[in-house]
Amino acid sequence: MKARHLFLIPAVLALSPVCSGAPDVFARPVPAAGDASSTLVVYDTLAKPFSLVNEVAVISTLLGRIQTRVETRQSDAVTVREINAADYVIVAGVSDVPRLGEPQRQALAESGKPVAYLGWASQLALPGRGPKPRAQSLYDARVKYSGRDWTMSLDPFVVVGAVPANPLAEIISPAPRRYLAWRDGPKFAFAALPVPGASSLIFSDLLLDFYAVKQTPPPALMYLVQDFHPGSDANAFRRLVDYFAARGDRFAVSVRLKSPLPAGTVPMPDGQFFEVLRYAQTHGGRVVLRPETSDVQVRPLLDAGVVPLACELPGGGNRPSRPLQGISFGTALGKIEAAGPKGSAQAVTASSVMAGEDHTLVIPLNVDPGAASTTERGIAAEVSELASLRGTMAGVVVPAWFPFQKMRDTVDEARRAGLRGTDLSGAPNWIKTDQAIITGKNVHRAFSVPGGSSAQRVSFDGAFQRVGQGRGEAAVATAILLHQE
Amino acid sequence: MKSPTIFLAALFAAISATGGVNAATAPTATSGKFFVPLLAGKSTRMEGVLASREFVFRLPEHVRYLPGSQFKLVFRASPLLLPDVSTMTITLNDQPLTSIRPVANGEIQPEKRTAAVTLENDVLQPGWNKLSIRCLLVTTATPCRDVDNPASWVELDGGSGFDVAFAEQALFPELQRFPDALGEPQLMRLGSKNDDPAVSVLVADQGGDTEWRGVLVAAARLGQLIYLDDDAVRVGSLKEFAAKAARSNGVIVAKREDLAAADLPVEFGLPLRGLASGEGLLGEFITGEPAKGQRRWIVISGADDAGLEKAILALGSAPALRDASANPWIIKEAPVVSPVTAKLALPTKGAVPFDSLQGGGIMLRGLFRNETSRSWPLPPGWQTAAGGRIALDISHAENLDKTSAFEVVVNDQSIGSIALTEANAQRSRRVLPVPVGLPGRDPSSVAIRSYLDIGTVDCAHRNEERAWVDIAGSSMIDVPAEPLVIDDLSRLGLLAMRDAFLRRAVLVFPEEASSERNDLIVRYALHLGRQLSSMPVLWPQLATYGPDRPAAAEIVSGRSGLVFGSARQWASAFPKGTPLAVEARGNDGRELDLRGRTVPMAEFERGLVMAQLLASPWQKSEIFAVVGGLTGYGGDDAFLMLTEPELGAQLAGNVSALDPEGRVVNYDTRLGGGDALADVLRDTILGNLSAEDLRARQEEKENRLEGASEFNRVMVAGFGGALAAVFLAERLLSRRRRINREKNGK
Repeated sequence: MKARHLFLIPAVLALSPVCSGAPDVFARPVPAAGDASSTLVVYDTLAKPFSLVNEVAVISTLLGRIQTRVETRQSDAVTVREINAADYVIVAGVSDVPRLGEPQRQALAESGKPVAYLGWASQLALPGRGPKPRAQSLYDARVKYSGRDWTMSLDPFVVVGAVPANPLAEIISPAPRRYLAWRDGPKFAFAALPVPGASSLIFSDLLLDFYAVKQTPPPALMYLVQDFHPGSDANAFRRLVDYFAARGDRFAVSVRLKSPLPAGTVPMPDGQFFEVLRYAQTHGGRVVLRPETSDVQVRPLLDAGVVPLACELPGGGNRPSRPLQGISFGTALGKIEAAGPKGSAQAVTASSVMAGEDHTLVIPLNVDPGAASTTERGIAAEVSELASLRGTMAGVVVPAWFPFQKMRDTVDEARRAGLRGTDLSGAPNWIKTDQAIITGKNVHRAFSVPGGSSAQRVSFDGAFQRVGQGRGEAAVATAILLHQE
Repeated sequence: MKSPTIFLAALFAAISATGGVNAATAPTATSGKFFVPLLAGKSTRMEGVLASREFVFRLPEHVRYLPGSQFKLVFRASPLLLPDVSTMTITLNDQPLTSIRPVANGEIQPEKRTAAVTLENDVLQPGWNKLSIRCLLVTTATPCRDVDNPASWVELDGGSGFDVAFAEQALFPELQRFPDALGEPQLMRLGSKNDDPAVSVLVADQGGDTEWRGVLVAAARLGQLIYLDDDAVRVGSLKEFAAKAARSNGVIVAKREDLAAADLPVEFGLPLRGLASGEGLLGEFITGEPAKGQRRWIVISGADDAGLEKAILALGSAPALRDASANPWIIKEAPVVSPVTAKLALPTKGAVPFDSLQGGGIMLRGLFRNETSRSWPLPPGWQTAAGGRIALDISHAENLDKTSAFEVVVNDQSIGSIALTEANAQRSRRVLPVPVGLPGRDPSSVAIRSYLDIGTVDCAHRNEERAWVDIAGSSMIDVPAEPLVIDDLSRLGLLAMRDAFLRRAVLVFPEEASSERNDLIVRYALHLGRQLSSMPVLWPQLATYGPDRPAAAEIVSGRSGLVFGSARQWASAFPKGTPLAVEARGNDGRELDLRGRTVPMAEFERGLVMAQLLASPWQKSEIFAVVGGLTGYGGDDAFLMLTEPELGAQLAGNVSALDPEGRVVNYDTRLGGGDALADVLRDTILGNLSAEDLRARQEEKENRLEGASEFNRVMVAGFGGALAAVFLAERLLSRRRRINREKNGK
């Protein structure tokens, strides 16, 4: 292989005043014990006896909202040393109260470190050893939390005895009133397991108290115009871009270069497709690669002045066999999923940016008009719920195949919570392929390329140009193409 | 699909001011209904056993459509139709709407009936919609054969159309959707009378050539919408902005220093103040509150003439608007026409297969009459050259009757018919020549009109599979093109369209602003836009002239165009010494000089309108035409000379006159001899001849001239031949004499 040469192409990406405070909303909260802290999850069993849902994986995934290292141990195997080494401990009773040895119990009780007891383990949060709790299944239960009522299903809801502590969440219907979550000093209890829906939202919010987070980002909203491709309606998309721009909203658009076309439709020429994407870029749109994209398809985008800043994760049933082949990235948008049995994935309701694989950041797409829950409850209700919690991120999907009016309705519904679309350029916006590296000002990784090894060198070495400046814009990303002569 | 005559209902209704029955909802309403008429005129007739028709109409995209819309079909049908068999089936956007029986049992007199269908939500779409009516109109119990039976008819009434339920939505700036975004409110009031225009074009009182070019470009682009009639766009003073801002959408054309007359939004203040010399500004803003009705306004401005020019060019270019980086948009560089865009104004070289056209090959199915067409790239500014042909690879059902055939029509001119016989049922190629000199259009079209007959059949059953003709995608349009030739006034209407982007067009007007002049600028610009509705760029130029101040050479040079004004003004538009066949002379221009003969203007009909064609005095190969009345712009008659094809076809030569009676007199100063121009005018206009007489006389004269020229040709050829024969004989004789001398010498 001959020496590679650097070629720079300018990337034209608009900046807005909205962008100035943007990095905050992409930061995962840091626990009081610091970002190097560890959390030990102790569990009785991974799943309920007659369930395929890996409850522990769900809990671990939800902990990804906090900057902490998560380890899991079955209660039979956990040692006192491991408990002592952890900064935070979560004891989860999935099908029963976890069997902990006396030393382990003592270690938990005497360490003074924050311990959270979930599900069947919530009994362990009570003083003494009471009778074995019983479990109920509550459907459409109304829970009072953080000053508002929430409707959720709780299965199991573990009924424990009297709670002599500070209630955090309370079931107000069906009667009688019972505590769902409470706090007793460093001990926290959540008398259920977080399942998709509002219980996960409340659990995620409680984590901020559990970890004594000092700084939480403000609630934020991220629009993703999903799956824009050459077979899409370019005029409708342009109108949507204008609509976002007129309201000062930033947005992301996930793109792919090939499209499965319905019979009788004609794909727009590449030139027109790229022109539309450039228009989106100059009006606050940020390009995201669809999971079907491969590394060789990044080059035509860059050649056309379209600079992707993130990737979209595969989700649902329509998964490409090899997603994002040859592409690594700093930020992804997608449905948050936990590992299920036999390599399957199980849906998790995430309320904020989460940790992804390989230290990436994942922006949850948690409001999707194509999803049953959103259809049932409405976009405005879901965004409003998220906005009422701390440090949340509402990832609103706007399907690009919707007619313009429906896309506008989706945006209008989401806007009712009073949040504005966040600029994705504030997230760690690097993408790397075999042929190109795209770096941004928020780069958290150094790259090894000819002529330098640091991110700084990659960004500014050579004939770097900020073409956008002449048009009153500032470049927020630089695309560096690598190729062989 | 049977006889798919596509009607642009919106267009027709816009032209017809009487077509609508409901007034549009008041502009301040947040919801209501508006009426979209289906027809242009009062009625239309569908004839034939299998009559069918498609209607295409457009709905605005800035409102939300609500449940409760209704389709109403008002019709009457032949009382001879068999009630139990005859049907009308209506589909909307390919979704079945309803089927009805057009006649009732026992009906003797055809009665007007109304069928109303409440539409389901989401059936009507923003943008284009298609309504199809397919009929089975049976008069006898015997199998149908008589397709042209005059008793098989249904007449649709002008009251047919859609009551569309809608709600206003908050507007937002959409600069790149100009002109659609500006003109679409007109779609909600088609066929109804309105005092307020749909679009106001306001220009600074101090505006000069550049500002008026802005008006011209804006109006031409608005004309591309087609459904905006002349009354829908009005030009006014920028001082009227406060009064107009809440009543219509609009365009403001003014340099920065003149914009103080308009109360623009604050977000425009800073960019305007920051404009450097030579920079333009283009922006869109919304006036009013959503609940009280909003309006959309576009500002075209600049720090100076150069900057304003850039903004005007940006507005005139759809690709430039699609690249607008912000709103308001500061334009530092004048937009250019990219090579890809430029191709749209050029004909394609070489043969064009049908496969490469939108729609590809053509398959016409079904009994009796069918029609469809394909657009092909012969844009305005070009014409067909010698050697053009259309090669059709055809095949058809073998069981077609001998009356079956299809006709090929290029830009509304039939170029030939092909009978569908057993001999050509299998794939075969037929070639039809294309006549020379057919002018290009936007879009040029090749239409196929077929008549397929399979003998006696039951029309109530599907016969599509038994009657078809296939024109394969390998068929070729191989028509060389050449630049449009304009050598007489019969192509007066094409003079400004020597380039499909109007880059070679200039309109020259008197500098003195008047409502007549200003309206004419807008009206003619709208007309130009309508002829070029799909062109992405329209950049016509405008120049003014005054006494002793001809049009600026830098503007008119390199362009062809039209000079407007009265006979007294014509000569002022051109550099001194430019020869005009007709121009005012004498005391205050009270006399008309007709090629050296002076005639008092009082002797002419006051409403006489004249046009004369001349080579551009600024640049060879360019052409100008002067159009106007003896004392004014010539009113509607002058406008019709430029825009009405039927009238335009009557013009000839390089001088034409049209009187209020509709009589046209043509004269060609390039032909020597004959009557003097003054005599021709006097004899015909003052000779009290009717328009028909005049036409007959003109035809007779043309025939006479043709006969004379034929005789001349024969005479010249005869004498030439005789001279050549004498010359050859003389040469042969001298050669023989020389040879003989040489022999004798030996």
